[in-house]
Amino acid sequence: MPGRLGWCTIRRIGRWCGWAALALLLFALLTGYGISEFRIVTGATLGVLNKAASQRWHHLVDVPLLVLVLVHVAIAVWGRLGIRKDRSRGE
Amino acid sequence: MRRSLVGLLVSLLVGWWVTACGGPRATSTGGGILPTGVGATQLPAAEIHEYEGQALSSIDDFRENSIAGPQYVSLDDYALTITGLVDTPLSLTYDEVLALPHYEKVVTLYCVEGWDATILWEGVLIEDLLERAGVRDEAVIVIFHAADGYTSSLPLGFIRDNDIMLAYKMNGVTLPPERGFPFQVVAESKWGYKWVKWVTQIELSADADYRGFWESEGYNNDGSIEGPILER
Repeated sequence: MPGRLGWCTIRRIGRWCGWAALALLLFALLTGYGISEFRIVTGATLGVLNKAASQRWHHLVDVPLLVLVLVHVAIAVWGRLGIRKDRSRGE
Repeated sequence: MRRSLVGLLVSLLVGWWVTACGGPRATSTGGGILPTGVGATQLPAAEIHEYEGQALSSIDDFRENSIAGPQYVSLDDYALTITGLVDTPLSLTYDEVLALPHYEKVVTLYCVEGWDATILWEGVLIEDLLERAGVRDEAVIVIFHAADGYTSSLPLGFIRDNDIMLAYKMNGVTLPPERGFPFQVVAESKWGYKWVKWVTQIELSADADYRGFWESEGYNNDGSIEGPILER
């Protein structure tokens, strides 16, 4: 057992981190294009995501995206290791 | 089977040789190969890739990211005007600007998008142009106007202290239209949005708070590469 937090809860956190990371990744892609292909993105977003706004948001999501990905991967890896340990004990 | 493979290989090699080596090819973005018998005494300039031991970026290597796409300025009706807080507003033709003392310098352009390009720039000092017009004491800012309506500014003191250039050649070739022909500001140590292309007007102003195109959208008005890209 992984401690006070049940393993189901931890896995749920990992899953939510994965989905949040995916959403942030898509947003980072959009803002990235908002910097390099600003004519298209500015028009498509009706001026909301102009070049400066895209640049600002693009740099703001760096660290949160990285954190979410790391948490998601760490939980997944931890879960795998835990399953292997249980199986080896069971044998 | 072996013969058909050999035949295929030979065909590929011949095809490569024809496309890679066959026929004359223009190497200059400033013009093509002159036909023989025309009496040409000078070959068109070819882009250089190294200067005094320093490798240069290619003028084709970096992106064209202007607000309205490349501008094609005709010299037939072009004039570089110097206006605003000057004693004598000027209107100079392209050739008149080129007749001024010219200089060469390797300067790196840093874009806010994350890329950079190191180019050998050749042009005139903006200060030389301003001296001809006679700058009034109250002028503190130099505003550059481009053919597509884009504007940006640099402090007058910065231009004087750093010998800021108005370039008409890059890497030994005349500025291509996509790179700002006839003139581009070489705003050394400033972000790329300060490097105004297709310059048509230089305006002297006392408005220290003037915001150019990207500066009005939130980019830092100082534009120094040492400082933040965006306004706080």
